[in-house]
Amino acid sequence: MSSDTSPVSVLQARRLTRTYRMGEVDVLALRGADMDLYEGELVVLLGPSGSGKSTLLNLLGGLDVPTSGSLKWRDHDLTSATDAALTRYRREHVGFVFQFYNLVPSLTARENVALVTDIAPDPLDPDEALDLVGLRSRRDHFPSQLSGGEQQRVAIARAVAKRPDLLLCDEPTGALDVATGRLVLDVLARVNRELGATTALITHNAAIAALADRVFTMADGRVATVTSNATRAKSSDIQW
Amino acid sequence: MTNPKRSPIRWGRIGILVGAVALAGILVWAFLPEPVLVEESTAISGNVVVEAVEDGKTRVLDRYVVSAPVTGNLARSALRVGDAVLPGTVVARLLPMDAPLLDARTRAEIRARLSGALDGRRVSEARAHAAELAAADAEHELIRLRQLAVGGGVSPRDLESAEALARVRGEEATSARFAVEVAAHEAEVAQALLRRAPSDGSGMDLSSPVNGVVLRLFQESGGPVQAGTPVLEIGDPAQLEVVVDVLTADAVRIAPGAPARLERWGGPDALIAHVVRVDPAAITRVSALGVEEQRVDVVLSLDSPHASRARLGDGFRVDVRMEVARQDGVLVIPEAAVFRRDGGFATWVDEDGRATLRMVDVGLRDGVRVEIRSGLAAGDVVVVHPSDTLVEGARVKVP
Amino acid sequence: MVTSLTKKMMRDLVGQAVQVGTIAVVIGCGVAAFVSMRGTWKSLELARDLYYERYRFGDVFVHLERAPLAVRARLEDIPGVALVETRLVEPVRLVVSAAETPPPGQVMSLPSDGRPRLDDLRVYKGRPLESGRDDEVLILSAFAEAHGLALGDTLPLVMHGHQFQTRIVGYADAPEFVYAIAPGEFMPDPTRFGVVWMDERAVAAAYRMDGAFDDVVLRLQPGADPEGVLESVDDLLEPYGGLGAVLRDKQISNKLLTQEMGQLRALASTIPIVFLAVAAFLVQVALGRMVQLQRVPIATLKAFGYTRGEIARHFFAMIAVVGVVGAVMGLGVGTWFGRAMTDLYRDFFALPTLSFRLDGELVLVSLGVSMLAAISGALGTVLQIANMPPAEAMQPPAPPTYSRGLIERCGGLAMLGPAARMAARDMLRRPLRLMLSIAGIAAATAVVVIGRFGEDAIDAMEGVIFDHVQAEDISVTFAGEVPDRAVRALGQLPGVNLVEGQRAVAARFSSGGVYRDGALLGWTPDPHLRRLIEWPFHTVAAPEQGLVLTAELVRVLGLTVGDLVEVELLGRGLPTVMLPLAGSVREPAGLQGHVGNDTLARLLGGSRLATHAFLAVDPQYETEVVARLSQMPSVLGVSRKSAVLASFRAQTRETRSAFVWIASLFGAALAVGIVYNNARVALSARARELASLRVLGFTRSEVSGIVLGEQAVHVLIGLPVGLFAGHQAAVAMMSTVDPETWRFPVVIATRTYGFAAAVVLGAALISWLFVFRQVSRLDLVAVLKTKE
Repeated sequence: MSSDTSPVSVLQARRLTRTYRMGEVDVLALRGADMDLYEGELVVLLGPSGSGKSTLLNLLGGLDVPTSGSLKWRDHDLTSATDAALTRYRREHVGFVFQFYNLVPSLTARENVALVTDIAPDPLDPDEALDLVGLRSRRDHFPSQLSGGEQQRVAIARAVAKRPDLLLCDEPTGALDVATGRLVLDVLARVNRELGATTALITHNAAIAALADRVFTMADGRVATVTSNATRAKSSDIQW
Repeated sequence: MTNPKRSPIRWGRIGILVGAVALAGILVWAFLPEPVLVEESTAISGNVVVEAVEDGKTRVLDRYVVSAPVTGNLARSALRVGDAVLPGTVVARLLPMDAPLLDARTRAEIRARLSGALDGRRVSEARAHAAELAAADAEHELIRLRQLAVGGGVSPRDLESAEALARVRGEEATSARFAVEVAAHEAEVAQALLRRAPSDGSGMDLSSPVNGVVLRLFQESGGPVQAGTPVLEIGDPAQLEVVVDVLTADAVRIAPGAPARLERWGGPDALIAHVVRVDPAAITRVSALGVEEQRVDVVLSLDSPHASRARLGDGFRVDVRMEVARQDGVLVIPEAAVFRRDGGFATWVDEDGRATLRMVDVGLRDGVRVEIRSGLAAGDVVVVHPSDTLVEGARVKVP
Repeated sequence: MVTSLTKKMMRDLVGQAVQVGTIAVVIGCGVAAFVSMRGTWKSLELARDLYYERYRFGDVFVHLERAPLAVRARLEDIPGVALVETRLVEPVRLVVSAAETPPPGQVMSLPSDGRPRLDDLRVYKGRPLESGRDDEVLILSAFAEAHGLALGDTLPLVMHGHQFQTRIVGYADAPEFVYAIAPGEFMPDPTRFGVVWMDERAVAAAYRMDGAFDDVVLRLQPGADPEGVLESVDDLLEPYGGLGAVLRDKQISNKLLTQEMGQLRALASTIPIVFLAVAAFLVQVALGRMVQLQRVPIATLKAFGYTRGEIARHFFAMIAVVGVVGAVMGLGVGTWFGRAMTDLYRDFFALPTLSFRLDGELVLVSLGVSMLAAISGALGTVLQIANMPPAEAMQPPAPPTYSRGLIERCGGLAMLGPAARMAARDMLRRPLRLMLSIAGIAAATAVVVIGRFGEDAIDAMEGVIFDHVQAEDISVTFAGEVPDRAVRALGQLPGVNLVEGQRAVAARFSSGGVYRDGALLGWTPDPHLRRLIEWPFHTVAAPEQGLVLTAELVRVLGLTVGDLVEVELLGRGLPTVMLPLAGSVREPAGLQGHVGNDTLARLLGGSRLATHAFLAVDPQYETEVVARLSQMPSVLGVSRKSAVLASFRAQTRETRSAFVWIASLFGAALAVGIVYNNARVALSARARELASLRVLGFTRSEVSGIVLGEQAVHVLIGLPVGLFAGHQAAVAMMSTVDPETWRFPVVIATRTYGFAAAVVLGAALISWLFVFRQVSRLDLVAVLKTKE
């Protein structure tokens, strides 16, 4: 669905740059990206590798600090935030989903989710979160006992259990086969609808962009185009 | 849905904090100085007795030496040391050497001797009389004081002095009487010699003048003896005194009448005696360590009844412990608890397990115990043989 | 291509410098301990053997009362005897100065015509005695230096009651006085052990021993039966008052020297092993991790055709470098320690050629064991990786499997939140590693405990001996036996508060065929000064009937209370008596029998005599009393307790603090090594999940807490285990001391335990600071992006 009539911008990024120093060379991963994210929308970040989408996502999630530019979350200025402030930001407002799941291997599914619910101010019950992703029955299994798709779903449960304002996914289906991927995308869409979390998804797979409210295409460290979808497709509708 | 803001990490953090505090506590406790193990003793009311200890010898009080009155042939003695004799018992026989025992010169000698003996007898009789009077006097005085004492009019010390005096005078009287008998005997012997006919070859018997026991035989086998040679010694071993020589520095502190104990004489219990006399003149002796010393004889009289020391004879060795100074009923702690500090004396007192330094005023010390005049109270517990590492407030403990 | 591999190796090492460094340090500690202790031991052994050889140290020693020179020929006739040396050894008073307490001394005769055949002297300053001169002496160098006696000084001697003026013409040392300790003393004190050597004719004249001898040294023939010779010697010398022949193992100096060396050798064999074992463990953990990290490069190398052997050698070479670095550090530090230790020993032992030598054997063994430790730790991992097929190696390793272990099923983890459970499961997954870590921490703690416990033992010993056993202020040794009067006369000196006498007679105690030589002591009843004390200070009274024996003696002779003990009083004309055992006393030193003074007098058929007296003296009069005592002809030696105590403290102070420092450093090094390595490896292995946690919003301290929590468990379990192990090790160390010389209960102050805990905790804390820094530097982005 498209955004509300009076859209609330929850994230504003202006002229964000990020430069990495690799030995003798400076790599400009982001060269001035601008972005606004509105409450409750689902956006996709598209682009070839090296276009800076991961870098932008990391900055949005407070995993990294921009070299220059400004980034605001609601009224908080993230550019000048200390590490402690960023940690708090992540803790209270952001949920992450990664390509390689990044579950803690020595905890069961439920415990992995509980990790987050224990430090969140107003979390879901871990079992509820697992329900959302349909894995309640597997809650006492260790990651080594779960398939790739199941692990990713647990990761999603973990990410949303804290009722985040922002849900950031970096290639969530990258390691999964098509069927499992569809499943995961469904879950993400559902979570976005039911919890109202602003969701940003990175993928290099253009077909997935049909699921989003808006699509940001990135190239050369900048946001090249921003397009809107009139309607959001369902995962079953798309092929890749 | 709401979740109380419970964080396992926080719980864990509290746990770690508690653990850290506990650990710090344990470390502090471990580093607290451990209580020092000490030996202790309680201050109690007791005695401090300073004694002079020497080894002495017993001596028969009255001894009489029978000597050959004239030159002659002494027959082999039938008596042995330890034999009992009565006055008049023949103790030796003197046989004539050869013909004239008596020539004019000898007679004159004997006459002179008789004369001297008679004089001696008179003198000793006079002395004996005086001594008896004095003894009677002392005895009367004692009876009088005893009567007064019944009514409480006499101090115990005075009473004791009177008793001691009566005893002493009584002994002196006995000695004086003995001396009279000896002198009488001498006179008789001289008379007997004079009465003797020149060619009387029957020899003469020497008899004992007194009641007693043969203490020593100077001549066991027969043979010629000169006039005046001692033949044997008779004495009453029941009447013993003890002689001990003492350093002059100690002698000064020993008063006549001072109590004494005799130990290691061979019997089970110590004997009681008291000092009778301290000789006024000192003699030089070389000590067992090779050093010259000035020593003085001290004579003691035995107080223990004869029955408890029946086997004690003449010339027996005893350890004599003479009281030099005494404090009764004073607060006493072991000498090993006291040490010098800041110009005075101090001791460590265990107050509730902590060592507290107390300065004390010290009175009489006898090497083992010390009189405490001030600074401690009865019941205070002091540390004996304290280590020099003890400090004020250190915790102490008895193992 | 080997050079590229070598470059890789060097860079890898440098990249992990701190970790590699800590391992090398642990190896270094082990090597240092080994080199210093074993090196010192070897140096001692070499110096001792050389010395004994060069100066013809004897095999059999016996002192007697007096025998005519003619008996010497009969000694030579004893089968098994190769050489005989007879001489005079007499007590003498050395009038060192008017002010000082005269120490007990010995004068020994030297042949007028040449060197002694056995037990020769080393005259290292001055010159030997001139034949025929009766006013020259050689003096024991340690004693002379301690008293500031120079060559050419006059030294008055009181021999047999008469004073002689002599001149010091040379400083000498002898193999029989390497360890200069008087019987009954606890520490060697050169100021109180004086020996002079004089021409035999002069000694004989002074002691009226012309044509006689009273001391014998024998050399045995190779293959002779030592016990047989001892028996024959004893039989031969009995009528001359022989006091019992002994072999080298009972000669005081040699016995103590050998004991000390034995202890050192035992330590040298055990302590380094602990360090090297820990090092092997650390290598295993650290290298295991490093290899895991390098799976892909290794697989690539294999894909390019490097053989298994080449790859294995590469890693072994890397480990070898760590081993060599550790060994070199250890050799350097060990040599330094070894030199210091040897210097310390030189103060105790008069061994002229004693110097620390680092010989080839030490170097080779050090290198060898370092390599062994390092490689044994690496063996498993390297072989595993070398054998893995390249394709498999390219894949990320399977994530570690977790399951509910036994403890979990019992609900042991129920109380913990997920973060804590992470740590717990991780620990329990590798129980062997957990136990080895704990063992390592325990070892570190134990090392520190042992370092300090020596202090506790010495403090306790000092307290018992100087405050309770020796409650006197001055002790006097008489030249011979003196009567009670003499003892009392001492009590009459001004300032003397109390005097008590004691009589000591050399005795041989036997029962059932077993015998031991010691002394029979006659005590005054109820002594207040020198007392018979059992630990801690329970006073034991000499019995009225029978005798009380040192507990060790009772044990060796296999006696129970009531048994009859055969006591052979040694000395001419002295009887052998049978006495019933009335009790035993656990006294700290020596083998003695205790009876009342009267009993002893009765046994010896005379009056009460004393060989020693103990005085309590007012401190203000002490100097004067000593001065007067010094002038008494029958006084052989005077000793002031305050001086002995001061000397004891001065001597032990040196050794104590050095030991404590070294042990603490080593223990800390071990602790840091273990904790730091474990933490680093854990961080490295779980970087991803830790980064995930950071992403999830866990703060740095929370994430550090998880890693450190595990380490904390290791430390918290390892500490008490280590304290216990330290106590046991102390007991083991005490047991290496010959129980017939010394006995002491193991006393460890709480402070020592606290100190050990503090050191190990401190080391752990330092390691944790490092870890915290590492966690801060976790590059979240990079970690999360990698596949592995």
